[in-house]
Amino acid sequence: MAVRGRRALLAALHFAAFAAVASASAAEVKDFVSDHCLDCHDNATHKGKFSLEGLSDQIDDGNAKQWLKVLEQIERRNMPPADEDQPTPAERHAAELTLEAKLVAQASPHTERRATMLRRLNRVEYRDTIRDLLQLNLGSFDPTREFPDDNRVHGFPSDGEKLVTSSFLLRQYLEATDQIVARAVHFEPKPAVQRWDLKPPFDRTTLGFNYSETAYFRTVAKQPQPYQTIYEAASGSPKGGYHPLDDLRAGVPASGWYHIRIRAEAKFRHADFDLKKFHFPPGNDPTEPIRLSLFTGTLEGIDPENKEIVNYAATHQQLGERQLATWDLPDDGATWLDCRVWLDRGYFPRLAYPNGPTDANNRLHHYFVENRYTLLNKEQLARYEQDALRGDNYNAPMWFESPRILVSQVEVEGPLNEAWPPASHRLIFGDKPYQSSAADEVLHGFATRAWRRPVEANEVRPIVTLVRAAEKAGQKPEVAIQQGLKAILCAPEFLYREEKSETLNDYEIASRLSYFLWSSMPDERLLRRAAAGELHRPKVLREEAGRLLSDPRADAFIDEFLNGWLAMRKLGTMAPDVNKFAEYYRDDLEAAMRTETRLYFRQLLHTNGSIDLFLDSDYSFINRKLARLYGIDPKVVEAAVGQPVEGLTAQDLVPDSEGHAPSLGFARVKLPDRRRGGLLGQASILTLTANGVDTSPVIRGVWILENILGEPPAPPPPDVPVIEPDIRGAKTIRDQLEKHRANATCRSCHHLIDPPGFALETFDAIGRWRGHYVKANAAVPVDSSGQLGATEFKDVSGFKTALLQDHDQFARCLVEKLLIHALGRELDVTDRPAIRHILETAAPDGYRLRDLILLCTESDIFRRK
Amino acid sequence: MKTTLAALVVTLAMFGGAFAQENLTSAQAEKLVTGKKGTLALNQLKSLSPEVAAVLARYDGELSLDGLETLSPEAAAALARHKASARFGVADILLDGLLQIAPDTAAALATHQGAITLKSLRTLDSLPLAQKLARQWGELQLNGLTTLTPEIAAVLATNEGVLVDRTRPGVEQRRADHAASVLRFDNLTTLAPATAAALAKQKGVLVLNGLTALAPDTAAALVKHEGTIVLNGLTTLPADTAKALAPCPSALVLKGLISLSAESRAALRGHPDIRLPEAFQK
Repeated sequence: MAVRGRRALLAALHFAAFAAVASASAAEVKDFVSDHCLDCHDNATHKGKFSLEGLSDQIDDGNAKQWLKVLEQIERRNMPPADEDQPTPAERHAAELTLEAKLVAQASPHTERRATMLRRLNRVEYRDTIRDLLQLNLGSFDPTREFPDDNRVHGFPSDGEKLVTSSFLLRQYLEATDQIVARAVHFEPKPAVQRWDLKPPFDRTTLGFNYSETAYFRTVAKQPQPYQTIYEAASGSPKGGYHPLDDLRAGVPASGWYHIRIRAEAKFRHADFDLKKFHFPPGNDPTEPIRLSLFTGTLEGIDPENKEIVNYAATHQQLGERQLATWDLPDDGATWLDCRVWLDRGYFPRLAYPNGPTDANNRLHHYFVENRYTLLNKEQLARYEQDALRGDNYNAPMWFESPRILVSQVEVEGPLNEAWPPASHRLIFGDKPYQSSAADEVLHGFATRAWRRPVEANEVRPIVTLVRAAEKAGQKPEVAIQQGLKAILCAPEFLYREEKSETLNDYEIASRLSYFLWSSMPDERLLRRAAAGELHRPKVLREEAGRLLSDPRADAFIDEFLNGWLAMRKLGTMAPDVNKFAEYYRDDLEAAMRTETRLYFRQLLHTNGSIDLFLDSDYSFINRKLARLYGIDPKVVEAAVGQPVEGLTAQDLVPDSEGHAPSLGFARVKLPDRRRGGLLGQASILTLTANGVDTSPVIRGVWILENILGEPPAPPPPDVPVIEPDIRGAKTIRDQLEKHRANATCRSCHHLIDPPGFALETFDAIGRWRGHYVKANAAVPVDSSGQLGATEFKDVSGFKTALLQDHDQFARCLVEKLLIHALGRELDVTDRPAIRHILETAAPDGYRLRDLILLCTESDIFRRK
Repeated sequence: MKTTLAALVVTLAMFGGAFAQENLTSAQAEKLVTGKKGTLALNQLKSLSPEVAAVLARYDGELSLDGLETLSPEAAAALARHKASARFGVADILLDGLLQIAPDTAAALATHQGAITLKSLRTLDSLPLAQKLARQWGELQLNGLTTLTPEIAAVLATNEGVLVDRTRPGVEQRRADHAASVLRFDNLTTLAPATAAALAKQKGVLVLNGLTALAPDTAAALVKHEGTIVLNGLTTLPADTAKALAPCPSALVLKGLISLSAESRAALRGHPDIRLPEAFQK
């Protein structure tokens, strides 16, 4: 029945496709091929080993692939070649429509279309669903931390066929569920608010400089220690650089909001302190304020008797740590800093100086030793040498006027829970005290929300039986009910999204929409509209899609779509060479690059800008560090930080929303020339398409073909050797690739791959502009010219002009990516009419991003399995 | 019992690397030097016989004899046979308690091939010893000197600084490559122009933190120095001295200044690399 229904639907599609091309005919395609293809692709010439002469114009299973290839070549303007007579646009369009209709007609009745299958929630979806289902503030808790990575198709972790479930993952589900329920259910009394007034030293048990500073005030100065000094960055330090609050090392006793106040002062920002003279990047930058950050830390799972490990964990970067707040500190004058942050039970705050000098390999210490005569006055030198005589090397920083933070007081108060029990508990049990007799009702209500659809009583009955059995075994009702909650969260109905009918029902549409745009479950309103049977109406669906896109939860769409489409997830996986690109680490450029692209996309989405701006623009969103990388005066950014930007909030532009650190702020900045505009000038893209050491036009070319032009090249044949860099430095990569293309087999792909890659050659492996290669100690000018289709270009600006001239192809690529992400399956030829409809509807307005997304959700294929 | 106690003392001393007796017999010295490495600290020793010195000279490591206030020529000659260390930046014999050295003692010490420290020496008039010190690697700190003749200054100024130990790769090697000569005089409170002119020929860091005042003519002689001049004993800088210092071609460190007149500041404004207290940097 289901197959018959699907065939009927596809047959309708078949007719619709034909109706759209009523004026076209098979003869038109034949004429088109005869006029524009057969000169080269007849049996005699057989160019590219491809002949159309013997190809029947009756499309069948045997020739459909070849005809599809013909259609794609015509659509992409690859054929006829630029130096041959061109069809008129009308002729081309007619041929495209006719061929497409024939292909769809052929595929529909005879081929089992690849339908969206049962889809497991991927990691992001699982985490965000738990968050929204229980209104949990996940804080430092990531229930998916131990889950294996999800397989991706076309960059997206949403293809049901690839989202496999292993026995390992099943065990992780069980463990995660235990933790989730423990965090959500609170039968215990409201935790009392506690207050900690902390005085220096805050991290007494940390070895090193702070110990010496404490000893000095106790034994030499004989006065209460007035402050604790933080003099090194929190990264690149063998001593860790994180300063835990010792009185809270066991972690806060209960999860909740905590009010933290810190009295701190920045000192010696402009001191005579230039580590550049000591052969390594200084880490600190005197032109920006000294910053104090608050990070989370935990010692959970560490043997408290193992002091060495405890100290290491407390003072070093921790997996999954969160930056709670960051402040720009005023110079020379203690000030109170304030924040309200979420801390999970067992976690504690740690102080750090993120833009401080780095002490990797003890270089800060060595710097002090070597430069003590130029950095210290007489008294400081005498004290320093007394310490050195005692062998107290780590005391050295105390006597130097290196940039530093003096922290004199810390106050922590919490948990400040306004309501008790928390929302997660009330969502499950309501406002009344729980009694065993309510188990049915509680479980049914919870399952309805967790499974994102109405639930029949018989579906919950086995779970109720489980709870009753636990009660009979002696468990208290409050404990036994938790077994039931866990069972609901481990059920396939929670873990999988099943779309049962060929045409999705309203609840399935609600889930498809919310997982597409939020990576999470539908909210109450969406489920309500599903219950009312409204969501299958395109107008309602568009309205709801618009609402979801305007919600902060759409951040998940931005991140997941960028990870899939642009491969942003790969940024940092080929870490740039630390010696060649020290600023990448010193300036935390990876995070800045990611933020730039995210802000760019977000602003375009919220202002419904044209997708042409992905290809070229005269602005971007950068911070001071990226400005420096791009050769823009950081003062331009400083002047623009804080100015309102349409489509973005003030919080969007300053990544650390708690605290107050305008020095980290991003601003919309007008670019001085066209080189940087659009995605192809953004450092994120240029870095993730390099190998960390050098650039490869092949990697960048393939990336452009896949993600901008939608023309992924075939994988290289197995017997073709990799192009090794010319370590003698005599040849440029262009010379090498030209030789490579001399081979006809290589040329068939590389004539498409190399030109886009060459266009970006004027950007190095982290996106810095370069006009020259340094080869064999000589500067060789970079040649970034090439040809895209019929258009020749001289450089990256010309390349972008060429892309813009044919932005239809880019629009198709983008829409296909959106649909792959939304539908959770690969596209096939029968999706073409829907894609064409989206494109033709959006084209007159210049392909606006938000419109394209909404059109995808309105499309009939969005409502089909 | 006594033997046991002595053995215990020696054993403790061996483990701790320090020895707490004022005198030492050859036999005790033999036990101390056998099979040990690192620093042998005998800082409580007040006197050293030539015999004991000869035994100690066989020690394969740094000898710290900072308690000695006098040293006979014979003992010095014996000590001078101590093997020089190949380690970068490590002194071989520390004699930082010696206040005076007789010419013969100085001549004997001058034959030593390694590095000797004499941080408390009040006068240095032995040319051979000065030449020996100038040849040493590591910092040359003569913090006890209260006077310095132009002749001795000229010799000391030939010091070339750290000997680069090519056997040590990595960071240590790069540091060594870049370590310059350091001449340090913490107790020279006055400096004649001729001595200043001699010291100005040194290439490296010249630390004159003992100077509490600097005459313009001495300043004028010093500025021919091509390295770093450290004058952290100066709390004020008269304008004429500032003007004399201004042409100094490289780093000038004046971290001890408490006051700086506008005229002096103006004189120094054009200096390419001046290090002042933070209060004067803005």
